Amino acid sequence: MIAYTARRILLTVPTLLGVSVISFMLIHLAPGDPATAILGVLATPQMIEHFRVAFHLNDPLPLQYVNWLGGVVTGDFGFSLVTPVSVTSLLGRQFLPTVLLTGYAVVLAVPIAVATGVASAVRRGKAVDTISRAAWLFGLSMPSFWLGLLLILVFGVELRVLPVGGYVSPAEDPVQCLRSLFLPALTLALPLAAVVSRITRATVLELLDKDFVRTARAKGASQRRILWRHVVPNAVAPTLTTIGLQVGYLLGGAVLVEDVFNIPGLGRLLVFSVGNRDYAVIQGIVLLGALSVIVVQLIVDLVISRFDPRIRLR
Amino acid sequence: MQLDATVEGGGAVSAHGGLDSPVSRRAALGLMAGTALTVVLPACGSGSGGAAAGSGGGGGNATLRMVGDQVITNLDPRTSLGPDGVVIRRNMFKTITLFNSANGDVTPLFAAELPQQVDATTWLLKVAPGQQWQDGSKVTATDVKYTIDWMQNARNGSLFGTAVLDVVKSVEVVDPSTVRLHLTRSSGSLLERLSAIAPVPKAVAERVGPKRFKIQPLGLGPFAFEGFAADQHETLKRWEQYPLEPKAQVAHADLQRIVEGSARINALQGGQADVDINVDPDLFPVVSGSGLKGAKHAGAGYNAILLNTGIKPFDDQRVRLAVAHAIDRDELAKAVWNGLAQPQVGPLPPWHYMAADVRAPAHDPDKAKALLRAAGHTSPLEFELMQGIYSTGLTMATVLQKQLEAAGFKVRIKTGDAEGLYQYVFNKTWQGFSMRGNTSIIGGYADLYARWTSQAIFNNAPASELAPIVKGLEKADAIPSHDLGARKAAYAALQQTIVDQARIVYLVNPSVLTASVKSVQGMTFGPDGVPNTLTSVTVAA
Repeated sequence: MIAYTARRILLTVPTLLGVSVISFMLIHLAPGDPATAILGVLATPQMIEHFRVAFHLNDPLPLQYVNWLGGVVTGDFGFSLVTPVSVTSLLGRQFLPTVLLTGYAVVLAVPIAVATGVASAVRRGKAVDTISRAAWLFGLSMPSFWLGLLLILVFGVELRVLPVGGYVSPAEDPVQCLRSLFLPALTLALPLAAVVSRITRATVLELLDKDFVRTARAKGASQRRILWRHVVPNAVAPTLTTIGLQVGYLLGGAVLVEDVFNIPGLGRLLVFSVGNRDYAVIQGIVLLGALSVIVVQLIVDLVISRFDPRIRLR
Repeated sequence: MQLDATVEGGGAVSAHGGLDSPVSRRAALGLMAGTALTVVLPACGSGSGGAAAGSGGGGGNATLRMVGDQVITNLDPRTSLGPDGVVIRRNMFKTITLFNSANGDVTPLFAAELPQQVDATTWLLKVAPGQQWQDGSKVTATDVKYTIDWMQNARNGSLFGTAVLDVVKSVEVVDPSTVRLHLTRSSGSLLERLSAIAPVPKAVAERVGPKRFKIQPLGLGPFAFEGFAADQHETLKRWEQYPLEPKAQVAHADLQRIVEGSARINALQGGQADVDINVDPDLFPVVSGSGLKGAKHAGAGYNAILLNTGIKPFDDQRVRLAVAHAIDRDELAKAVWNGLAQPQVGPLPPWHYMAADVRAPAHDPDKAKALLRAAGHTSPLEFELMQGIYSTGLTMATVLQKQLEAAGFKVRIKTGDAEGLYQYVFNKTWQGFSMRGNTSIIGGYADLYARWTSQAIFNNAPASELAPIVKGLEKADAIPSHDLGARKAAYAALQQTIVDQARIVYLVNPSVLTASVKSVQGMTFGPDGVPNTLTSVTVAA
């Protein structure tokens, strides 16, 4: 396991390198110039030139990339072109809300998803199954934007039991932090729960038909024991894998949710930076996002291997 | 006897049959109970909470919580062009003069009295006595010279320096409270221009540097800097040692960026904000029905179609006039802004004290078609119209396309964010650009509005074609400020020329729409649509 983990960590480096090259190229392919985006259309050619020289925007692209990479290796992600703040501090400040939001969404989604998926499989064709599948369809087809606004209207404006938006740092007030993130996390959790629930249902259904389950039944094991001792443990791997894959989508989906709920997270920072062609910040966010996905995948693989001894990490 | 169960895949088998489950039933139940708590717990606690400080006890300890959609990145009054900087400029600093572009009144603010004109190109400015910077140091004439010199240095990237202070040749300190401004030429709009210039403390600005000053300024106004987070919020606090009157009545003022229009209204309805300083027009009808106070103010924003007059087909004035005749401004105002905008035909907003009654091409699709035929276009003339994506942008593009196509054009809409589209403007490959703008923040004086229209970057015209307007602008600006009749006549002639040339077809002047909770009183807005000084604002408990 240690060797496997070490290998995976080492593989992270070329992966991130590839991501950085591709994102660098794509960012610079997009029309728009940071100088005019930031200084505005009334800027004189002289001002634009000063800006470009000051931020090395006239350097050849490969040189810009190498300089940036050199900084990254030493922990310096550069400075934002828009505000004179280091990219590291910007990312540090705005990474936590996104992580908390995404984590909260997973915590809300997974138990609901597993419970409904199992119940739906066990009670296939019954009311529970029908209602669950209808709920998944709703969760998957509702745009997060619309769902978020609906939750705000109901719980924030009409009932006034939860904040309509904003973010409170956990260091400042952990309870208010939970409250401020509940609705946005729920907005992200519902589609996630729908996907995970479907996978769980399908997996459990498949497992219920397996020989070892038939054998356990023949031995006189109760349905409950069969389910919790034999079926569910075998369903963990596909479920965890699905959750791991969905984390990447969660991070992307957080952009809209952060806008609707006014959460100062990475998604919102990304939209702002793209609009202003703030290259260094965009690069930093893309790298951080890629690293997060890699780390989550690694954790999922390690956890699955602990749950399921049939899986040998090589 | 217990039989060993077979396990798929030949994995380990426990003595009790099957895999040892890592998730016992008890654990699963505990997990679900924990999740239920996570769901229930957030709903507990006091009220609806909120990220920003609440209104508190109201009265003198209140926080005024404003929300808007503009970016918050720059608090330096020397360079900031957005409402973030204007709020700072009006509450932490003082501009040299105060200019009301609706009626033309100019009054001293930072200055003790209105700057006095010594001769055609020389003015004397006296600093109002008793002012001090928030670190306790005295405000002096040296700060004024430093500020203007800094803004005029192109390296510092201040648009005020190039656009507003271009007539200032040099600044001379006469004594600790007096500066002499030497101009390059006579300028009747100097007092109006100085309403965009807020002096900063030389010693502090030099010590901390422009990068730091941009995010942590130090001023002399009734409010002091308290906090800032890029793209999120800026917070001011009442400066308790403010030596002059009036003092602030709220303890804190917070401007927060909330991108979504409906999220801003939700914040007001949910008790997390007090004022939305720019309500989307399609949400304005919701405001009054939801217990909030809605208000409509004049604004200095405009929408216009820029035409690239350096290339075909818009190098032909007949084609440009055809575009002008195609536009139905009333329909635009109704369809895009729910009637909350007024037609604007020239470079100045219709309420501006220098706005003239110009003869503008009337909405006449048949006339437009005739002009196109005269210009040699017998079948629909195809061109590309760029449109920025913002709240009203796509609706605008749809309506414009319909109007232009009814007048003999065939329009391809190219959308994108404004910054991306500017690239095509700067490399001159564009044809038409439907854009919105607001130059009032750097000075709402007539010269600036009109000059914007004549900038080659926005119409790509050769200098020889723009020379008459440029000359006309210099002549109009040179007329002494006291000769109002002559100034108005000169600007009226210029506005007519600009409209006749149709290099930029102005469309509408949208109103600024705001919403507030009923406990907020005393908030007023300038003609640029941004809140005036907040000293008169109160928030009831």
